[in-house]
Amino acid sequence: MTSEALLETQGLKKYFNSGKSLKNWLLREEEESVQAVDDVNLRVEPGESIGVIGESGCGKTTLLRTLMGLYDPTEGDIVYDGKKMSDFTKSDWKAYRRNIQIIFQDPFNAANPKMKVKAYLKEPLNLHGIPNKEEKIRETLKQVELRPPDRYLNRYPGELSGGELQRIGIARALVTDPDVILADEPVSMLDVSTQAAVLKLLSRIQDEYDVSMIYISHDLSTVSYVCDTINVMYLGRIVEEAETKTLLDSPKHPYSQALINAIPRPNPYSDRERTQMEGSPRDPVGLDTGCRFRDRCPERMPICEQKPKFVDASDPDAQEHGVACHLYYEHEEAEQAMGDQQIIGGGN
Amino acid sequence: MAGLSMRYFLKRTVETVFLILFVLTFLFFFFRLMPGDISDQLIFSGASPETVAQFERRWGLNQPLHVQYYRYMVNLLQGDAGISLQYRQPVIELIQRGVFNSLILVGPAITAGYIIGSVFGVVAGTKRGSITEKYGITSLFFIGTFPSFFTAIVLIAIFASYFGWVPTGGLVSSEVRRLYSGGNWWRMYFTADFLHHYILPFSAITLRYTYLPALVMRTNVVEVVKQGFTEYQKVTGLPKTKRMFNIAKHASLPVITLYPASLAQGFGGLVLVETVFNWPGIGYTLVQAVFASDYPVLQFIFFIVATFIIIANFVVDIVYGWIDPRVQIDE
Amino acid sequence: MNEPLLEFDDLTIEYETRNGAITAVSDASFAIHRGEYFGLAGESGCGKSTAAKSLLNILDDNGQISSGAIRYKGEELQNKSEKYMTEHIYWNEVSYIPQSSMDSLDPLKKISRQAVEIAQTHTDMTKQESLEKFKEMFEIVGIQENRIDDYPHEFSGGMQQRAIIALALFLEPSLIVADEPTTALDVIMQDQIFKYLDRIKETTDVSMILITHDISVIFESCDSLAIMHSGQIAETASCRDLFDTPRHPYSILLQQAFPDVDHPDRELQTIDGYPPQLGEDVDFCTFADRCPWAVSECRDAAPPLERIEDSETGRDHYAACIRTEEVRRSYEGDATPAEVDNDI
Repeated sequence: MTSEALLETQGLKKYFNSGKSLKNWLLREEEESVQAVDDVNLRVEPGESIGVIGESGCGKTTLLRTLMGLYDPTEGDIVYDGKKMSDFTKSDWKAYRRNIQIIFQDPFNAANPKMKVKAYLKEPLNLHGIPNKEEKIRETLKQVELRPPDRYLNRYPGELSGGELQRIGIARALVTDPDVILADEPVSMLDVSTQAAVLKLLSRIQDEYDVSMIYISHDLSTVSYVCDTINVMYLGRIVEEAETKTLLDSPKHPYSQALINAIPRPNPYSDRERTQMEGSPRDPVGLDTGCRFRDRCPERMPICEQKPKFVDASDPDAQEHGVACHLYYEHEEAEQAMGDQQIIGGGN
Repeated sequence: MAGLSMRYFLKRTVETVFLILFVLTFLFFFFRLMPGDISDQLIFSGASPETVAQFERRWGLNQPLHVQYYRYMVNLLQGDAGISLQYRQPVIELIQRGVFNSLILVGPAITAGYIIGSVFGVVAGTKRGSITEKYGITSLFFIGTFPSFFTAIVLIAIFASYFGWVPTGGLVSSEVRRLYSGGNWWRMYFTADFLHHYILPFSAITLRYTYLPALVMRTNVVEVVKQGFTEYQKVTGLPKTKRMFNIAKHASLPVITLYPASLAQGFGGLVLVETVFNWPGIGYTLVQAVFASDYPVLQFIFFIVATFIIIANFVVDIVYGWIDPRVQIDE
Repeated sequence: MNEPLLEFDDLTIEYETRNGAITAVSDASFAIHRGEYFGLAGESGCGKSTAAKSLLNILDDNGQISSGAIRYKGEELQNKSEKYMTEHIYWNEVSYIPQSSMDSLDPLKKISRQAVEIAQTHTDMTKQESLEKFKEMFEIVGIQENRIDDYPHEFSGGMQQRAIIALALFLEPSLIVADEPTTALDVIMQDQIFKYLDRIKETTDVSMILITHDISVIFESCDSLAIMHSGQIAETASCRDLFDTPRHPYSILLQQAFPDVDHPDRELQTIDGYPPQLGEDVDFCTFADRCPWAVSECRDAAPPLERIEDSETGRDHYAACIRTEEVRRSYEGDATPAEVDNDI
């Protein structure tokens, strides 16, 4: 990771205030905020595809929206092409909007039902003043394997299937020649047979167009197919980051391990054991700085009351593998300090 | 049934009390600050300034407003709502019968309209395409577009004039009134004679207010039936009557929120209905008071009506919270 | 094995629409035995949900069974009245876990009250007895007992789903019909729920028909399955037999289309085309236009379900394809369909 990152987040935080209630004001309490994204460091290089995996409530959608510029970060920065988003001028924003494109989850909802495909694909070109619109549109439709393009130009979304619509969604993202594509669960609403085709398309596009991708999903099996690197997210924090194969072969964070173990295998002879995890992730409200997984972690230790550092836990001869877990680094000074202060372990 | 949280109830009660106080204050200052008060009228009809000043002193009208306000509130708590400027009578005495007569007409009529309309709506919603739905709803709608006084006139023309089944107007006949004057005046409300007089004005208002709940209820029932739990309850084998009741319960929620609004509307049209039926409610008194700028009377009548509607809102809030505990979150 | 618990016999279900009749299920046949977990797999629109709903008589108003039979414990159900279903089938014998459980619980009633109502409709249990029983169910699905008096909105989505499962098990039915019970849930929660379903299978005699598009879930949790494509049963067998020796082209291609975390580099199989829109008579193989092995005869008549002999598990194995032999050679010999076709 020595090259310049194309898009990265630095200590990104996004908190939502749930609003002070009368009771809060009377009792002079601090309002509790929803800590949706907490200190996330993500980076994607040109031509790279990274996945962000997490279950519902982990903050991945908020992360995506913040990357899109829909939310202002509470703290931290987003850096695109070396420039911080907080320093963006108007023309920087225009460039950002042109170069960072998004593919949505629900193909049926994303497209405007009153717009023909041609108009729908023309819109971003008009917005950014890109010439040769007709040609670009045709070219892009061919790239997403909707051939011949003429068959699709004058159709309405209502006339197309889920798979076709999702391809249109991808086409719209591609038509401005972006640097980065943000993909929000792009195949979760498609049938398995269509899913395979769209996943292959995304893979191919990434290679041929040299476009980077940030792929957000809860489904590890589809993400693994498309992404080189995977980040595992839990309650607003990245808990593990590794190359896909490395993560699947030897996950290090207890959560990643539980997650991978719980995925069903398409094999009736699978002797996988059912999960030992109990309960579900708590609400990301009013959390302290300690490890957010500790209430469910089978490896919990007293030190977990402190926020775990993100450390390199790669196996020898293996690719870089980052984990945010106390199991993977030395704690002499901290343990000493804890012993001295007799901090009470346990309890949230 | 469902659960009502004490917190929700108390919160609503406190809010209602504050609201009533606010309305009272507002009305007080509103009338006093309007141009064209009684002093101007006296001057206009030729009274000398000294007479006017004397008049004002007598009635405490020359005091600063906030002093008047304070005295008014104190008096009100003791059951004295001031003196009518026209009749020199205590306001409460003047209007109490009228208020009573109006309330027993409007309240039950609109309530009945809502109950009948709701039942209609449930039947229409569950039996789509039936006669009830097609013709019933349309007829109700048709009737509902006419103001109550118009329906009243039509009803009088048919049932009172043509058939002669019921009297054309009045509260009770003169014989009954003579019978029950004095201490037991309230007994006359229990006579058959009263009922004869009551039925037409009651129906005029009721008919006007059935179509809205019927329409809303029908739409809601159709919506509710589409929801998952209707199918689930069928599959768990719940008997049909129970299922219908559950559907009605759900569908009725938006309908009951409309109820206080209809009440307010009903009061608005009341004056004309009372005129048509010669019904001794506060409608007539109210109109007279407006022309005479008799603001103690006006203020108090408005206040009564407003309070009635505020309380109706309060009751609806509580009933709604009782039926649907979801609204009580965040309280 | 003696008489099956549930049998679908040549069942055809049609929907009346403005544009004519649409066939949702066409001549479907399969059987489920006591104590068996049976998966009904297929992609959206294949008719699996419709088939399940027809069993429970909760088809949409414009749907009806036009031919065939559904036999439960030997008794034909398709023509029975709602009264009969309520008295004899609903919940006592067959319970239901609907697709979106969030919508199934009455939001205006406490969950305990809903449970008691169900119990008292079908059994003689007193209110106290019902509540005790229901608390036991909550324990099995891992929800704290004291929460039975909560309202549905006070539960999270996952808890609502488990409450629905608790309700489905409550009166100890013989058959549970579960329609995509875990599709909306996270993977860890899904596993938690199947842990409980495994346990129930071990300790009781209950059968389950599990409807889902996720074949991995079926492979891991069910004994046997049927795969549907556009209203037709493509293949039905024990899970192991279908995995080891699939005979229908769709079974083969479908399995290969699923990504597998244990083999992330494996090339995913794509299936061309789309399931066809079905009109009134389905007298052709609905997979023919998408099938690499299809020949013109495939479009002449609907392929009958043929018995496949080499079953290792002793469970009946049927496939609806007239070219199972060629498919087998291709699959086992790793030859492409074209090569097989051109073979002698």
